[in-house]
Amino acid sequence: MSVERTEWDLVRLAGSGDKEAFRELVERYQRRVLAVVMGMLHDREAALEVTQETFIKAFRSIGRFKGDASFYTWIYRIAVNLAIDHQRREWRRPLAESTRNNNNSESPPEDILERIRDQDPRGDPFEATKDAELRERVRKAIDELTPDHKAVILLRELEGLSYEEISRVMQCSKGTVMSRLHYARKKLQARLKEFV
Amino acid sequence: MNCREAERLIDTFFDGELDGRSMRDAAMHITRCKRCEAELNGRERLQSLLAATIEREIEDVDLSRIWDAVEPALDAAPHARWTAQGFRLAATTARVRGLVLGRRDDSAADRGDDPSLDPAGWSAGETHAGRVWRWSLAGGTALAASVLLAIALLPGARDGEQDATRLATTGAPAAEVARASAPAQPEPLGPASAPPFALASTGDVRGVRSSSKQVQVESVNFPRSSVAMWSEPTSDTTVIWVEDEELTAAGSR
Repeated sequence: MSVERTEWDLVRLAGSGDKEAFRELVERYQRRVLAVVMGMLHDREAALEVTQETFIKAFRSIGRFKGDASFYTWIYRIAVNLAIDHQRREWRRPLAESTRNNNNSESPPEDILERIRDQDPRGDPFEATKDAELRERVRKAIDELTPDHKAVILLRELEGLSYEEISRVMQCSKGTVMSRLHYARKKLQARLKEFV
Repeated sequence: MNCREAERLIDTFFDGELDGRSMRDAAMHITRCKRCEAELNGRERLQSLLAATIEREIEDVDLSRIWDAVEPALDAAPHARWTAQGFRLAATTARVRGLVLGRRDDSAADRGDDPSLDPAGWSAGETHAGRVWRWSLAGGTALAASVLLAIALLPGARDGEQDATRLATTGAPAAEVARASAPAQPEPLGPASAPPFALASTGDVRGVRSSSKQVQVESVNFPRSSVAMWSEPTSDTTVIWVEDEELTAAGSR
Protein backbone atom coordinates (compact mmCIF):
# COMPACT_ATOMS: atom_id res chain seq x y z
CA MET A 1 0.00 0.00 0.00
CA SER A 2 1.48 3.32 -1.01
CA VAL A 3 1.32 6.28 1.35
CA GLU A 4 0.45 9.55 -0.29
CA ARG A 5 3.32 11.95 0.08
CA THR A 6 2.72 15.49 1.26
CA GLU A 7 3.55 18.45 -0.88
CA TRP A 8 6.48 19.30 1.36
CA ASP A 9 7.86 15.73 1.05
CA LEU A 10 7.70 16.05 -2.69
CA VAL A 11 9.37 19.45 -2.65
CA ARG A 12 12.23 18.12 -0.49
CA LEU A 13 12.71 15.05 -2.68
CA ALA A 14 12.60 17.12 -5.85
CA GLY A 15 15.13 19.45 -4.27
CA SER A 16 17.54 16.58 -3.95
CA GLY A 17 17.08 15.72 -7.63
CA ASP A 18 14.24 13.17 -7.47
CA LYS A 19 12.58 13.57 -10.84
CA GLU A 20 9.67 11.30 -9.98
CA ALA A 21 8.78 13.48 -7.01
CA PHE A 22 8.97 16.53 -9.21
CA ARG A 23 6.80 14.82 -11.78
CA GLU A 24 4.14 14.36 -9.12
CA LEU A 25 4.29 18.06 -8.31
CA VAL A 26 3.98 18.90 -11.99
CA GLU A 27 0.96 16.65 -12.32
CA ARG A 28 -0.67 18.23 -9.28
CA TYR A 29 -0.32 21.80 -10.51
CA GLN A 30 0.01 21.73 -14.30
CA ARG A 31 -3.68 22.26 -15.00
CA ARG A 32 -4.01 25.17 -12.60
CA VAL A 33 -0.85 26.83 -13.88
CA LEU A 34 -1.93 26.28 -17.47
CA ALA A 35 -5.35 27.82 -16.77
CA VAL A 36 -3.84 31.03 -15.39
CA VAL A 37 -1.28 31.30 -18.17
CA MET A 38 -3.89 30.54 -20.83
CA GLY A 39 -6.11 33.23 -19.34
CA MET A 40 -3.28 35.70 -19.64
CA LEU A 41 -2.00 34.79 -23.09
CA HIS A 42 -5.00 33.49 -25.02
CA ASP A 43 -2.72 31.32 -27.11
CA ARG A 44 -2.63 27.61 -26.49
CA GLU A 45 0.87 26.93 -27.77
CA ALA A 46 2.34 29.94 -26.00
CA ALA A 47 0.55 28.95 -22.79
CA LEU A 48 1.94 25.41 -22.99
CA GLU A 49 5.41 26.76 -23.64
CA VAL A 50 5.24 29.15 -20.67
CA THR A 51 3.85 26.40 -18.42
CA GLN A 52 6.71 24.08 -19.38
CA GLU A 53 9.23 26.86 -18.80
CA THR A 54 7.65 27.52 -15.40
CA PHE A 55 8.26 23.96 -14.23
CA ILE A 56 11.78 23.84 -15.65
CA LYS A 57 12.61 27.03 -13.80
CA ALA A 58 10.98 25.70 -10.66
CA PHE A 59 13.08 22.54 -10.79
CA ARG A 60 16.25 24.56 -11.18
CA SER A 61 15.42 26.58 -8.09
CA ILE A 62 13.56 24.11 -5.92
CA GLY A 63 16.67 23.24 -3.91
CA ARG A 64 16.58 26.75 -2.53
CA PHE A 65 12.85 26.76 -1.79
CA LYS A 66 12.60 27.32 1.97
CA GLY A 67 9.03 26.20 2.38
CA ASP A 68 7.86 29.16 4.42
CA ALA A 69 5.43 29.91 1.63
CA SER A 70 3.22 27.41 -0.09
CA PHE A 71 4.56 25.73 -3.18
CA TYR A 72 1.62 26.75 -5.34
CA THR A 73 2.03 30.45 -4.48
CA TRP A 74 5.66 30.14 -5.47
CA ILE A 75 4.91 28.32 -8.73
CA TYR A 76 2.21 30.85 -9.64
CA ARG A 77 4.68 33.63 -9.11
CA ILE A 78 7.12 32.09 -11.59
CA ALA A 79 4.29 31.41 -14.05
CA VAL A 80 2.79 34.90 -13.85
CA ASN A 81 6.18 36.57 -14.27
CA LEU A 82 6.98 34.43 -17.29
CA ALA A 83 3.56 35.10 -18.79
CA ILE A 84 3.98 38.86 -18.30
CA ASP A 85 7.44 38.67 -19.87
CA HIS A 86 6.03 36.72 -22.77
CA GLN A 87 3.26 39.24 -23.29
CA ARG A 88 5.67 42.16 -23.23
CA ARG A 89 7.90 40.44 -25.76
CA GLU A 90 4.87 39.96 -27.99
CA TRP A 91 3.99 43.64 -27.72
CA ARG A 92 7.50 44.59 -28.74
CA ARG A 93 7.44 42.39 -31.83
CA PRO A 94 7.67 44.26 -35.12
CA LEU A 95 4.29 45.44 -36.36
CA ALA A 96 4.53 43.50 -39.61
CA GLU A 97 5.08 40.23 -37.80
CA SER A 98 2.23 40.71 -35.37
CA THR A 99 -0.09 41.80 -38.17
CA ARG A 100 0.82 38.68 -40.11
CA ASN A 101 0.11 36.49 -37.12
CA ASN A 102 -3.14 38.27 -36.37
CA ASN A 103 -4.25 37.74 -39.91
CA ASN A 104 -3.45 34.07 -39.52
CA SER A 105 -5.46 33.84 -36.34
CA GLU A 106 -8.49 35.50 -37.88
CA SER A 107 -9.98 32.48 -39.47
CA PRO A 108 -12.53 32.67 -42.26
CA PRO A 109 -16.17 32.07 -41.27
CA GLU A 110 -16.24 28.49 -42.57
CA ASP A 111 -13.31 27.67 -40.29
CA ILE A 112 -15.18 29.09 -37.29
CA LEU A 113 -18.21 26.93 -38.05
CA GLU A 114 -15.97 23.92 -38.44
CA ARG A 115 -14.30 24.71 -35.15
CA ILE A 116 -17.65 25.01 -33.42
CA ARG A 117 -18.77 21.67 -34.89
CA ASP A 118 -15.51 20.07 -33.75
CA GLN A 119 -15.91 21.44 -30.27
CA ASP A 120 -19.50 20.42 -29.76
CA PRO A 121 -20.51 17.91 -32.41
CA ARG A 122 -23.62 16.73 -30.55
CA GLY A 123 -24.91 20.14 -29.49
CA ASP A 124 -27.37 22.48 -31.07
CA PRO A 125 -25.48 24.57 -33.69
CA PHE A 126 -27.26 27.73 -32.53
CA GLU A 127 -26.35 27.09 -28.93
CA ALA A 128 -22.80 26.28 -29.97
CA THR A 129 -22.55 29.49 -31.95
CA LYS A 130 -23.92 31.54 -29.07
CA ASP A 131 -21.51 29.83 -26.74
CA ALA A 132 -18.58 30.50 -29.06
CA GLU A 133 -19.59 34.13 -29.45
CA LEU A 134 -19.91 34.56 -25.72
CA ARG A 135 -16.49 33.07 -25.12
CA GLU A 136 -15.04 35.30 -27.80
CA ARG A 137 -16.57 38.34 -26.07
CA VAL A 138 -15.21 37.26 -22.71
CA ARG A 139 -11.83 36.61 -24.24
CA LYS A 140 -11.70 40.04 -25.87
CA ALA A 141 -12.72 41.70 -22.63
CA ILE A 142 -9.92 39.91 -20.75
CA ASP A 143 -7.43 40.85 -23.45
CA GLU A 144 -8.19 44.51 -22.91
CA LEU A 145 -6.87 44.34 -19.37
CA THR A 146 -3.23 44.98 -18.57
CA PRO A 147 -1.10 41.93 -17.68
CA ASP A 148 -1.17 42.88 -13.99
CA HIS A 149 -4.96 43.23 -13.92
CA LYS A 150 -5.36 39.98 -15.82
CA ALA A 151 -3.10 38.12 -13.43
CA VAL A 152 -4.91 39.42 -10.35
CA ILE A 153 -8.40 38.60 -11.56
CA LEU A 154 -7.43 35.17 -12.88
CA LEU A 155 -5.66 34.22 -9.66
CA ARG A 156 -8.74 35.25 -7.73
CA GLU A 157 -11.59 34.02 -9.95
CA LEU A 158 -10.02 30.87 -11.32
CA GLU A 159 -7.75 29.78 -8.53
CA GLY A 160 -9.49 31.34 -5.55
CA LEU A 161 -6.30 32.74 -4.06
CA SER A 162 -6.70 35.08 -1.10
CA TYR A 163 -5.63 38.71 -1.32
CA GLU A 164 -2.61 37.88 0.80
CA GLU A 165 -1.57 35.07 -1.53
CA ILE A 166 -2.11 37.21 -4.61
CA SER A 167 -0.01 39.98 -3.09
CA ARG A 168 2.82 37.46 -2.62
CA VAL A 169 2.52 36.17 -6.16
CA MET A 170 2.37 39.65 -7.65
CA GLN A 171 4.92 41.21 -5.26
CA CYS A 172 2.63 44.07 -4.37
CA SER A 173 0.60 45.18 -1.36
CA LYS A 174 -2.85 43.85 -0.48
CA GLY A 175 -4.24 47.31 -1.17
CA THR A 176 -2.89 47.17 -4.71
CA VAL A 177 -4.44 43.72 -5.16
CA MET A 178 -7.81 45.07 -4.01
CA SER A 179 -7.72 48.08 -6.29
CA ARG A 180 -6.58 46.02 -9.30
CA LEU A 181 -9.28 43.47 -8.65
CA HIS A 182 -11.95 46.14 -8.32
CA TYR A 183 -10.82 47.86 -11.52
CA ALA A 184 -10.63 44.60 -13.47
CA ARG A 185 -14.10 43.49 -12.33
CA LYS A 186 -15.66 46.84 -13.14
CA LYS A 187 -14.08 46.89 -16.57
CA LEU A 188 -15.12 43.32 -17.37
CA GLN A 189 -18.65 43.92 -16.09
CA ALA A 190 -18.94 47.01 -18.28
CA ARG A 191 -17.70 45.09 -21.32
CA LEU A 192 -19.95 42.12 -20.65
CA LYS A 193 -22.97 43.94 -19.29
CA GLU A 194 -25.41 41.90 -21.40
CA PHE A 195 -24.26 38.75 -19.67
CA VAL A 196 -23.52 39.72 -16.11
CA MET B 1 -24.77 50.58 6.31
CA ASN B 2 -25.87 52.44 3.18
CA CYS B 3 -25.42 51.58 -0.50
CA ARG B 4 -22.30 53.72 -0.81
CA GLU B 5 -20.56 51.87 2.02
CA ALA B 6 -21.80 48.51 0.77
CA GLU B 7 -20.50 49.19 -2.72
CA ARG B 8 -17.10 49.97 -1.28
CA LEU B 9 -17.06 46.63 0.51
CA ILE B 10 -18.73 44.49 -2.10
CA ASP B 11 -15.54 43.01 -3.56
CA THR B 12 -14.10 42.12 -0.18
CA PHE B 13 -17.50 40.76 0.88
CA PHE B 14 -17.74 38.64 -2.24
CA ASP B 15 -14.18 37.37 -1.75
CA GLY B 16 -14.75 36.60 1.94
CA GLU B 17 -11.99 38.98 2.98
CA LEU B 18 -13.98 41.07 5.45
CA ASP B 19 -13.75 40.67 9.20
CA GLY B 20 -16.72 39.12 10.98
CA ARG B 21 -18.51 42.32 11.98
CA SER B 22 -18.17 44.02 8.58
CA MET B 23 -19.22 40.78 6.91
CA ARG B 24 -22.40 40.69 8.98
CA ASP B 25 -23.18 44.36 8.34
CA ALA B 26 -22.61 44.02 4.61
CA ALA B 27 -24.73 40.85 4.45
CA MET B 28 -27.58 42.60 6.29
CA HIS B 29 -27.58 45.45 3.78
CA ILE B 30 -27.10 43.38 0.62
CA THR B 31 -29.94 40.98 1.40
CA ARG B 32 -32.32 43.92 1.81
CA CYS B 33 -31.10 46.12 -1.06
CA LYS B 34 -32.01 45.05 -4.59
CA ARG B 35 -29.38 47.23 -6.20
CA CYS B 36 -26.51 45.91 -4.10
CA GLU B 37 -27.80 42.36 -4.45
CA ALA B 38 -27.76 42.78 -8.23
CA GLU B 39 -24.21 44.05 -8.00
CA LEU B 40 -23.20 40.99 -6.01
CA ASN B 41 -24.95 38.67 -8.45
CA GLY B 42 -23.03 40.37 -11.25
CA ARG B 43 -19.77 39.44 -9.51
CA GLU B 44 -20.91 35.83 -9.27
CA ARG B 45 -21.90 35.63 -12.93
CA LEU B 46 -18.63 37.21 -14.00
CA GLN B 47 -16.72 34.66 -11.98
CA SER B 48 -18.63 31.78 -13.58
CA LEU B 49 -18.18 33.24 -17.05
CA LEU B 50 -14.43 33.66 -16.65
CA ALA B 51 -13.97 30.19 -15.18
CA ALA B 52 -16.11 28.56 -17.87
CA THR B 53 -14.30 30.38 -20.68
CA ILE B 54 -10.82 29.46 -19.52
CA GLU B 55 -11.85 25.90 -18.63
CA ARG B 56 -13.22 25.47 -22.12
CA GLU B 57 -9.98 26.73 -23.62
CA ILE B 58 -7.84 24.19 -21.83
CA GLU B 59 -10.21 21.25 -21.64
CA ASP B 60 -8.84 19.45 -24.66
CA VAL B 61 -5.18 20.28 -24.10
CA ASP B 62 -3.07 17.16 -23.82
CA LEU B 63 -1.47 17.81 -20.44
CA SER B 64 1.08 15.03 -20.92
CA ARG B 65 2.82 17.37 -23.35
CA ILE B 66 3.95 19.42 -20.38
CA TRP B 67 5.94 16.69 -18.67
CA ASP B 68 7.18 15.37 -22.02
CA ALA B 69 8.79 18.73 -22.66
CA VAL B 70 9.91 19.37 -19.09
CA GLU B 71 11.63 16.05 -18.41
CA PRO B 72 14.44 16.27 -21.01
CA ALA B 73 15.22 19.80 -19.84
CA LEU B 74 15.66 18.67 -16.24
CA ASP B 75 18.80 16.68 -17.03
CA ALA B 76 20.39 19.78 -18.45
CA ALA B 77 19.20 21.93 -15.58
CA PRO B 78 21.83 23.08 -13.11
CA HIS B 79 20.71 21.65 -9.80
CA ALA B 80 21.36 21.58 -6.10
CA ARG B 81 24.08 19.00 -6.70
CA TRP B 82 26.54 21.69 -7.59
CA THR B 83 30.16 21.28 -6.74
CA ALA B 84 31.67 23.33 -3.94
CA GLN B 85 33.47 25.33 -6.62
CA GLY B 86 30.15 26.10 -8.26
CA PHE B 87 28.76 27.35 -4.98
CA ARG B 88 31.78 29.56 -4.40
CA LEU B 89 31.50 31.01 -7.89
CA ALA B 90 27.79 31.66 -7.42
CA ALA B 91 28.38 33.30 -4.05
CA THR B 92 31.11 35.54 -5.48
CA THR B 93 28.95 36.48 -8.43
CA ALA B 94 26.06 37.30 -6.13
CA ARG B 95 28.31 39.47 -3.99
CA VAL B 96 29.71 41.35 -7.00
CA ARG B 97 26.22 41.69 -8.41
CA GLY B 98 25.04 43.05 -5.08
CA LEU B 99 27.87 45.58 -5.01
CA VAL B 100 27.44 46.75 -8.57
CA LEU B 101 23.68 46.63 -8.91
CA GLY B 102 22.36 46.89 -5.40
CA ARG B 103 20.80 44.09 -3.39
CA ARG B 104 17.56 42.96 -4.85
CA ASP B 105 16.49 41.11 -1.74
CA ASP B 106 16.70 44.31 0.26
CA SER B 107 14.46 46.14 -2.15
CA ALA B 108 12.03 43.23 -2.05
CA ALA B 109 12.00 43.41 1.73
CA ASP B 110 11.35 47.14 1.52
CA ARG B 111 8.23 46.41 -0.44
CA GLY B 112 7.13 43.97 2.22
CA ASP B 113 7.77 40.89 0.09
CA ASP B 114 8.96 37.62 1.41
CA PRO B 115 12.35 36.89 -0.17
CA SER B 116 11.86 33.18 0.45
CA LEU B 117 9.19 33.29 -2.19
CA ASP B 118 11.85 34.00 -4.71
CA PRO B 119 14.39 31.23 -4.39
CA ALA B 120 14.89 31.47 -8.11
CA GLY B 121 16.15 34.97 -7.47
CA TRP B 122 16.65 37.08 -10.51
CA SER B 123 15.70 34.48 -13.01
CA ALA B 124 12.29 33.52 -11.76
CA GLY B 125 11.05 36.28 -9.51
CA GLU B 126 11.85 39.28 -11.57
CA THR B 127 10.12 40.64 -14.60
CA HIS B 128 11.80 41.02 -17.95
CA ALA B 129 11.86 44.83 -17.77
CA GLY B 130 13.63 44.71 -14.39
CA ARG B 131 16.26 42.33 -15.72
CA VAL B 132 16.84 44.39 -18.84
CA TRP B 133 17.31 47.53 -16.77
CA ARG B 134 19.74 45.92 -14.35
CA TRP B 135 21.79 44.15 -16.98
CA SER B 136 21.91 47.31 -19.06
CA LEU B 137 23.36 49.09 -16.06
CA ALA B 138 25.92 46.34 -15.57
CA GLY B 139 26.76 46.38 -19.28
CA GLY B 140 27.14 50.16 -19.26
CA THR B 141 29.46 50.00 -16.27
CA ALA B 142 31.58 47.33 -17.93
CA LEU B 143 31.71 49.32 -21.16
CA ALA B 144 32.76 52.50 -19.36
CA ALA B 145 35.49 50.57 -17.55
CA SER B 146 36.71 49.11 -20.85
CA VAL B 147 36.86 52.55 -22.47
CA LEU B 148 38.84 53.98 -19.55
CA LEU B 149 41.24 51.04 -19.67
CA ALA B 150 41.68 51.38 -23.43
CA ILE B 151 42.48 55.10 -23.06
CA ALA B 152 44.99 54.34 -20.35
CA LEU B 153 46.71 51.77 -22.54
CA LEU B 154 46.79 53.83 -25.75
CA PRO B 155 50.24 53.97 -27.40
CA GLY B 156 50.41 57.75 -26.88
CA ALA B 157 49.79 57.50 -23.19
CA ARG B 158 52.28 54.73 -22.78
CA ASP B 159 54.86 56.63 -24.86
CA GLY B 160 54.41 59.61 -22.60
CA GLU B 161 55.15 57.48 -19.60
CA GLN B 162 58.16 55.92 -21.25
CA ASP B 163 59.48 59.32 -22.29
CA ALA B 164 59.06 60.62 -18.78
CA THR B 165 60.96 57.65 -17.48
CA ARG B 166 63.66 58.12 -20.07
CA LEU B 167 64.02 61.81 -19.26
CA ALA B 168 64.18 61.10 -15.58
CA THR B 169 66.64 58.27 -15.83
CA THR B 170 68.96 59.49 -18.55
CA GLY B 171 69.48 62.84 -16.98
CA ALA B 172 68.27 64.74 -20.00
CA PRO B 173 69.41 68.31 -20.39
CA ALA B 174 67.51 70.80 -18.27
CA ALA B 175 66.43 72.64 -21.42
CA GLU B 176 64.74 69.57 -22.81
CA VAL B 177 62.89 68.95 -19.57
CA ALA B 178 61.85 72.56 -19.37
CA ARG B 179 60.68 72.49 -22.96
CA ALA B 180 58.64 69.44 -22.26
CA SER B 181 57.09 70.74 -19.07
CA ALA B 182 56.30 74.25 -20.21
CA PRO B 183 53.67 75.57 -22.61
CA ALA B 184 56.27 75.71 -25.33
CA GLN B 185 55.97 76.22 -29.06
CA PRO B 186 53.79 73.40 -30.39
CA GLU B 187 55.35 70.66 -32.48
CA PRO B 188 53.58 68.54 -35.07
CA LEU B 189 52.06 65.42 -33.61
CA GLY B 190 53.10 62.31 -35.47
CA PRO B 191 50.97 59.22 -35.91
CA ALA B 192 52.70 57.55 -33.00
CA SER B 193 51.78 60.38 -30.68
CA ALA B 194 48.25 61.04 -31.90
CA PRO B 195 45.95 62.40 -29.21
CA PRO B 196 43.97 59.76 -27.38
CA PHE B 197 40.76 61.43 -28.49
CA ALA B 198 39.47 62.63 -31.83
CA LEU B 199 39.67 66.36 -32.41
CA ALA B 200 36.79 67.12 -34.67
CA SER B 201 38.35 69.65 -36.90
CA THR B 202 39.80 69.98 -40.32
CA GLY B 203 42.37 72.40 -39.09
CA ASP B 204 46.03 71.80 -38.54
CA VAL B 205 46.45 69.87 -35.33
CA ARG B 206 49.65 70.54 -33.51
CA GLY B 207 50.80 69.93 -30.07
CA VAL B 208 53.40 69.01 -27.58
CA ARG B 209 52.81 65.84 -25.74
CA SER B 210 54.77 66.35 -22.62
CA SER B 211 57.29 63.69 -21.97
CA SER B 212 56.54 63.97 -18.29
CA LYS B 213 53.28 63.63 -16.38
CA GLN B 214 53.53 67.26 -15.34
CA VAL B 215 52.03 68.98 -18.34
CA GLN B 216 50.28 68.33 -21.64
CA VAL B 217 49.94 70.81 -24.44
CA GLU B 218 47.69 70.43 -27.47
CA SER B 219 46.75 72.92 -30.11
CA VAL B 220 44.46 73.08 -33.09
CA ASN B 221 45.10 75.64 -35.79
CA PHE B 222 42.26 76.65 -38.02
CA PRO B 223 42.67 78.90 -41.07
CA ARG B 224 41.89 82.03 -39.10
CA SER B 225 42.07 80.95 -35.50
CA SER B 226 43.74 78.54 -33.16
CA VAL B 227 42.98 76.74 -29.93
CA ALA B 228 45.65 75.68 -27.51
CA MET B 229 45.14 73.62 -24.42
CA TRP B 230 47.60 73.32 -21.58
CA SER B 231 46.83 70.92 -18.82
CA GLU B 232 48.53 69.84 -15.68
CA PRO B 233 46.91 66.61 -14.52
CA THR B 234 48.68 66.54 -11.17
CA SER B 235 47.09 69.80 -10.10
CA ASP B 236 43.93 69.17 -12.08
CA THR B 237 44.40 72.43 -13.97
CA THR B 238 43.63 73.11 -17.61
CA VAL B 239 44.17 76.37 -19.47
CA ILE B 240 42.62 76.87 -22.88
CA TRP B 241 43.62 79.63 -25.28
CA VAL B 242 41.35 80.56 -28.13
CA GLU B 243 42.93 82.95 -30.56
CA ASP B 244 40.94 84.55 -33.32
CA GLU B 245 43.19 86.25 -35.86
CA GLU B 246 40.49 88.66 -36.95
CA LEU B 247 39.89 89.77 -33.39
CA THR B 248 43.64 89.99 -32.74
CA ALA B 249 44.08 92.05 -35.91
CA ALA B 250 41.17 94.27 -34.97
CA GLY B 251 42.67 94.69 -31.51
CA SER B 252 46.06 95.67 -32.90
CA ARG B 253 44.43 98.12 -35.23
